Amino acid sequence: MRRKPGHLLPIELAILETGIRLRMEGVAHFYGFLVAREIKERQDARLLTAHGTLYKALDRLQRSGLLESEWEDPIVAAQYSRPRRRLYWVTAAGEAALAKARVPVRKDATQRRPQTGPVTP
Amino acid sequence: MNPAVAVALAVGMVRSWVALYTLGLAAELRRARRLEIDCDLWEQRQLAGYMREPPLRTAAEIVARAVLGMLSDITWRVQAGLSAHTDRSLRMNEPLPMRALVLLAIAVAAFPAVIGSLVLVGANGEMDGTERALFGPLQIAIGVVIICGLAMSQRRPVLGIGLVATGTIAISGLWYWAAMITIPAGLVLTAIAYFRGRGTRGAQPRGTGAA
Repeated sequence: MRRKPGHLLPIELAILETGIRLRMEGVAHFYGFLVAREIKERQDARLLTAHGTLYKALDRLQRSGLLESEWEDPIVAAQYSRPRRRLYWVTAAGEAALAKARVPVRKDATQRRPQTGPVTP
Repeated sequence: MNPAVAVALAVGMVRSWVALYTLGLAAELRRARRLEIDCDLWEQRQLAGYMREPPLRTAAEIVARAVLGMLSDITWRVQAGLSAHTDRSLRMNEPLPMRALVLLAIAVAAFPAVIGSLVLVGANGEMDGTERALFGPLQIAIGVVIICGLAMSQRRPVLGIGLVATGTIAISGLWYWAAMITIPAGLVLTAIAYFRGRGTRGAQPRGTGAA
């Protein structure tokens, strides 16, 4: 089934939120495993996000212009004796998309509240 | 089983799966995905070691992450393949004379298939049932092989040229009495496949996220 343009999946929202939160905490770039670990801790999940789900979502966000990425400098990776990381960051479009995705949810919630009516004892 | 071996096996399984589903993708895209998963696996093992997590649990989580993401991997692979194909089609847009030549070549290559079909339905009264059953499908198959070769010569030149050459050699052997026509025609068809493949050599899909 084809998704509506601009519609973000929960995993994509979680990635954008994590990216923005990390930046506010002083971490300018994030990489796949870091975002998986952050989402796990945040959502109190039992497992880290599956590889396929995570990297497909990152790829889609990048293709949509909501994320950008670059490969880490090999010298930096060599200094820490680890593989090179693919570093991502949330773009201005990503921040706007997240804000937009969050607004309708709140609107719906406030619109639905009066319809529920009083709870009868 | 040694717990450390379990982690190594889990990592090997994930790497094999990544190697499998990235087969056929552009080299840069394939390499980028493999490097990214390798990095993820390395980070996970490092964190597990730091947290003193039991190796069997780490191995189970690595396998679970791979298995739970397989459907996404497959859909990503399909989409990546399609976008690369679209991109190639745009970049490999051929000039009109070449396209006309290829269409003409396909029409010529369809001739053995048409003759084979006629033989199969018994239009050639000289052949008995066994000969019809043998030569009819054989000529159809040769025609199909040549057409497939011509069609593939743009994206897979070596395979395409090979199929065209094989098909034309086969039809020349089968119709040896018409060698004066089949051999030059075969050479022309092979040349078309060759020049078609040569004309598109070096075109690479874009947006592969080079590492």
